[in-house]
Amino acid sequence: MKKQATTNTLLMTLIIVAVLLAALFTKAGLTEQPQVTTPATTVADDARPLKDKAKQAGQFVGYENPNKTKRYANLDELAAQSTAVIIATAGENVCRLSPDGRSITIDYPLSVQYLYKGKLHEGDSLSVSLPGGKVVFADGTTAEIRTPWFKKMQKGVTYLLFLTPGDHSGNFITTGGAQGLFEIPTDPHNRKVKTHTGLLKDAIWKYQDMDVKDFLRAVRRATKKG
Amino acid sequence: MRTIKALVFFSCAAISLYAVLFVARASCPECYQNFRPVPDDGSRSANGRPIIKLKLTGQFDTTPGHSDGRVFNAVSGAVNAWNTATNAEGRGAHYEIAFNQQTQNSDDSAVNIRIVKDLPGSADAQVGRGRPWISGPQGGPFNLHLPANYADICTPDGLLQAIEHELGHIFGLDHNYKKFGSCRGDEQTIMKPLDSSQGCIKIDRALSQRDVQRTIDLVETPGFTANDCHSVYKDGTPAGDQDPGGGSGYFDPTPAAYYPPTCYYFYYARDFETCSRVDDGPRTCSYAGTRYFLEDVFCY
Repeated sequence: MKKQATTNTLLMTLIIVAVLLAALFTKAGLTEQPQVTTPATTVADDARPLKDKAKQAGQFVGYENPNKTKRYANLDELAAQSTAVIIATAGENVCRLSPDGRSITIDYPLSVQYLYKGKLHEGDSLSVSLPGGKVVFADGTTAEIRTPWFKKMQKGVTYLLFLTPGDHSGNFITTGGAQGLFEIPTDPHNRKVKTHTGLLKDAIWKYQDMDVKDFLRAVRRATKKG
Repeated sequence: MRTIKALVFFSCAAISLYAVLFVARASCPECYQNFRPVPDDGSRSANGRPIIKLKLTGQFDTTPGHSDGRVFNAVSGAVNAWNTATNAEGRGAHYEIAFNQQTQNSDDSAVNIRIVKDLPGSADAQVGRGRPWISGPQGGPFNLHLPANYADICTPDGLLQAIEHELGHIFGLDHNYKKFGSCRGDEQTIMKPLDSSQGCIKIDRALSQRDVQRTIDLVETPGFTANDCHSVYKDGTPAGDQDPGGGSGYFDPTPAAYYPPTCYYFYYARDFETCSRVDDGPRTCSYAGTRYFLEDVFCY
């Protein structure tokens, strides 16, 4: 009798496990990966150094708000606010923690190929910092800052950059955040310029897919005014 | 005693199953409302449904009085698909479409939907940008536009599905893009076009029971029309205000070439870094690339 009861209980448990597993599989099918995470906190919400946040979380992930950067309406404004406007090709990048430990940048070495504005010279080397990236601390914890609205540079690709001096290390930053970065085509079959700002209806979107000749002509005009 | 135990076990199992399914269902929001319903003129089909009259205009005639067979067959197939589709309870769509000798020979003003051809270089062709589209005031009469070469570039099934999809708009159904990345595995609908940047529009799924149910709900369920997925989220937040300030994703600056409104793709963008240690130094990371997952489409 007791054996019968144990068997029944076991059977019941198996049924429940099977039902739960089936339900979980159903859920997995309905909410197909990728699992999208909404940024719960922006970096500005919590002023503690990233190292402290990483220590608490193990793997800290934060989002940077694009609104901390001033935005501009056109190339004229970008050029007027920039200390240098150059064409350059991106090199191998490295992510660095800022001196105050509260943000991360992706630092790219660049070599000036063409200068529209500024005191640099063709062939000069400089470093440009874009917001975002990931760092690993000595205790093995990590901090990552995501800036999905800012399309990053890729090694070996040519860009036109509107630059202003950064806050540290003598690095430059792009004027207007993602607004000051454009991919310049080098393929003879594709002559379209690409903006790197992914903010909805950004004023700079008007230059998206513009013919590179027309675009560079507009840049020249803008830098002469500036 | 054993009976009570069994009952408790079964109750727990049922509650768990319901809870998990409810959470899963809630994660994929609904999306409705496009054109407002066609006004009811009192005409009824044999099974009591309001009739929408459709006509293929003479622009598609290959010889006087004879339409291009490819377009005619696609329209017939699409109309038949909508007229015979049912919801989970076996009920048909709210409307029934009449496409027959009588409507075909009707005066244009006597029909609710005219299928027209966008001639190359015309103002309509510029609006349509090579896609089928709908014009007309809310409630109709509507023009269902087909690009002049559509029968050439689409397969018969492709053309049929494109017309089925456009008829869905006239029935009041909007594109189903919301939570595109995470919900596409769930949503069975004719209202989800995939890439149509070149050639014939591609429809993700077939006409479904849910599509039929929506045509009914749009007319019969009070408050249903409040959900406009192009401008308002299910929680009531205006779509345009949801992201731009927060920067939680990436909007592609190149507008989507779907329909006359300007539409932008919104992606969940995930950067990837590679981290390594050189000799005994600290581990350093470098940005390696970004993966983009289509989340939504915003049209203005």
